[in-house]
Amino acid sequence: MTPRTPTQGSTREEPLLEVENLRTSFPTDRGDVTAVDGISFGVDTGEIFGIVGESGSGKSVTALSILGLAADGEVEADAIRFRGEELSTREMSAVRGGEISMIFQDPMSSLNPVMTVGEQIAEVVRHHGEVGESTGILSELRRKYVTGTSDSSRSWQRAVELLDTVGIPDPEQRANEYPHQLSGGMKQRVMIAQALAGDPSLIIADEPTTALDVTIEAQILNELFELRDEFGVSIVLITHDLAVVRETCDRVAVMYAGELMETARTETLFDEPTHPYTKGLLRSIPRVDDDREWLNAIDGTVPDPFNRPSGCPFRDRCDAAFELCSEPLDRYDATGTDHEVRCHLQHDAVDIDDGEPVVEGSLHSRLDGTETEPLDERSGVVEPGGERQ
Amino acid sequence: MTDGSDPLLVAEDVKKHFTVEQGMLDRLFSDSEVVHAVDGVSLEVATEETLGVVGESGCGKSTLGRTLARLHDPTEGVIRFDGEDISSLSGARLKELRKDVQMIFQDPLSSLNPRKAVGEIVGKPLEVHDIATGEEKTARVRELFEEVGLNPDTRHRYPHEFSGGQRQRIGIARALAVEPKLIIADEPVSALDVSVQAQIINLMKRLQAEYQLSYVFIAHDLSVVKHVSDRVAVMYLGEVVETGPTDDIFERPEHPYTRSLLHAIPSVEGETGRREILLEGNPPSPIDPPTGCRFHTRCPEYIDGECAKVDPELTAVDGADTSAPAHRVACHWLEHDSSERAAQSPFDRDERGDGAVDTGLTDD
Ligand code: SF4
Ligand code: SF4
Repeated sequence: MTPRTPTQGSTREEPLLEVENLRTSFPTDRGDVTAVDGISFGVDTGEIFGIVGESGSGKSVTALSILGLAADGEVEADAIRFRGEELSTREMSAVRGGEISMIFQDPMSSLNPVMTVGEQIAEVVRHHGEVGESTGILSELRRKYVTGTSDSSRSWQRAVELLDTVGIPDPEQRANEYPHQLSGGMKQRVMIAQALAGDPSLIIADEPTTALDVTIEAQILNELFELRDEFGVSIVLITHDLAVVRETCDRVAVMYAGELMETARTETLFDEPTHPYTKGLLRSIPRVDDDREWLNAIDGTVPDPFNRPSGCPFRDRCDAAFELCSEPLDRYDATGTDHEVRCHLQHDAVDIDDGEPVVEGSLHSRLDGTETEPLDERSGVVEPGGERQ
Repeated sequence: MTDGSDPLLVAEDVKKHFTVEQGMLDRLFSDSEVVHAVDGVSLEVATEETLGVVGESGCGKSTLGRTLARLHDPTEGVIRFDGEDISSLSGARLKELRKDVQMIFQDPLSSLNPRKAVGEIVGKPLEVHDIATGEEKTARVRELFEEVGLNPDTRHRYPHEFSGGQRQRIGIARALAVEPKLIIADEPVSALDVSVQAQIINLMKRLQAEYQLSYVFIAHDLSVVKHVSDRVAVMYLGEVVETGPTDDIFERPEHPYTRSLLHAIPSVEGETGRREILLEGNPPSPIDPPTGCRFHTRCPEYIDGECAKVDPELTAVDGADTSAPAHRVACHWLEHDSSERAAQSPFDRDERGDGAVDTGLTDD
């Protein structure tokens, strides 16, 4: 991997969504917290792109930032492009609900408890589609509280159609029900129907199946596949669940402490994980077909957002950490290749000799002319090479 | 593991029913509704054994856990601990039981008093049960902190200052304080990040060996349950539908529900692509469970004329002995010839010859 290759050298077709160097921080009593620290990625048309990370990794904030929903967040980016057009975060909020829509983990957070589900979907249809129905405040209020949307109106029919599309049985009847009358899986489907109502080309789904049982999860994920296959919708799937990523996504980015550690095609990521964090995650999961007595846990915890280590954010927990790791990772910024790994082990000047990383010559000065900080005195810097089993 | 001696915990036909809280009008105009949360569960747990309990949300597994720990009174049935009937203990004798049976919860934060320093939280049971006070207590708390991998100097901090994984360690230290024989863990790792899950699972396994603990490990994550359990009980709508040694359950599942669950597990290995759905819809309401086999409304192997009428009993599968820890299944297919079943089962039996259900994914 060569340092600082500009993103423009992308080998892929122009992505539907392109995010360059996104940074989001939140002011708090104890100072600013950087939740997203300079991430770049692209999502192709008809692609399911996964962002996988643990809690606090910044994966949800990434979604909210893109959509202009990061309340009190300070969002900066070199560029956010949708269909090749650069959009300000304000403009992003304008396409929200229409071209880009979002599905949340908890359907109740985006469903109105006192409106029937059909009504809620019909409302989105009217606002974003061309159904020739008045969307003035008064007519909406009247529909909402007095008459309800007429069963014969185009928007209502479309709502029923959408409920049918997402696999809700008896959609005509269900459309008249309130969210609390539906099961968790059904509510999730309603939210998907609502997300579809604006006829989006991109859906950002944040942990859409986390609260659901495995059997219902499979059903919902299959609905997402259908959307992609039938309507060519692109999907950004944000999740902590590697198994879900594995079976759903075309490409995936692994996020840790606000940074993308590894971005690759899904098969590549699972078959040849390269970043020590990705490897560690995959080893820590129990599998139905393994007979390990002990799981290979990653020791330690994610860095305190107020006290992030300099350099690689994973270095306090990384088995492979070596002298270079206190240097920032930003020199490995998006290369536009199919497999991006932000880890100093990938540097051209680093060789692995007998499992030990060896830095060639005067690398530090070559990197940016500064001296390295003294070697971190962590306990447990064992076995560089990361093959602790 | 089972060593021929009496099991530590035995449940016989345990039921826990709740009456639904209803509005005034409902109370006037209808009979009160009863949730059959746990509806006749029999199981046993041996010393130093882990029994995994799995099932979808609402299957009654949490209620079962709380009933076994006697946080709930069982509506019917007998629970025996160490040979003693504990089903209706109360007062001082129930308090005494708490020394032997402890619980760990899914969300440690909601089970830890936010206004108490974590050292106090862990030390409380020592006082309550007159195990240690003063200096001795402090020393023991420090020891417990170290035992679960926490820095003893952090004991003056409050629960919110800890990460999810650390809070679960605190919950474990509190449970461990009284040196219990049995810990009932209700989804202890499902709220944790994967890398932290592995830490907590390893910790629980280490403590089990060190203290000869028995666990009832309640979880919806089948891979986790497979990893930690010696035996497994699969629950559906308040009943155990299949139980037996872990390998039997995962390699030779007999109940259509177990097979469906295993089929639905996403995996970080094997083929990618969509999962074939063999289990549609949601479980029916435990207020008015289906007649006959409770699974018949969703069963992919439904037998016409039998399943909706007669409730199948837990029966030992061929080859298993009839003792309680053996592989047992509640399904009418056990009364039929296996070739007859294979002919119409949607579960692909793979060619390995061990009869394992192919939990791989279909090409699509
Ligand atoms: S080797 Fe260094 S740069 Fe790579 S993950 Fe480990 S700590 Fe980070
Ligand atoms: S008894 Fe019938 S309905 Fe019940 S699990 Fe067996 S085949 Fe299915």
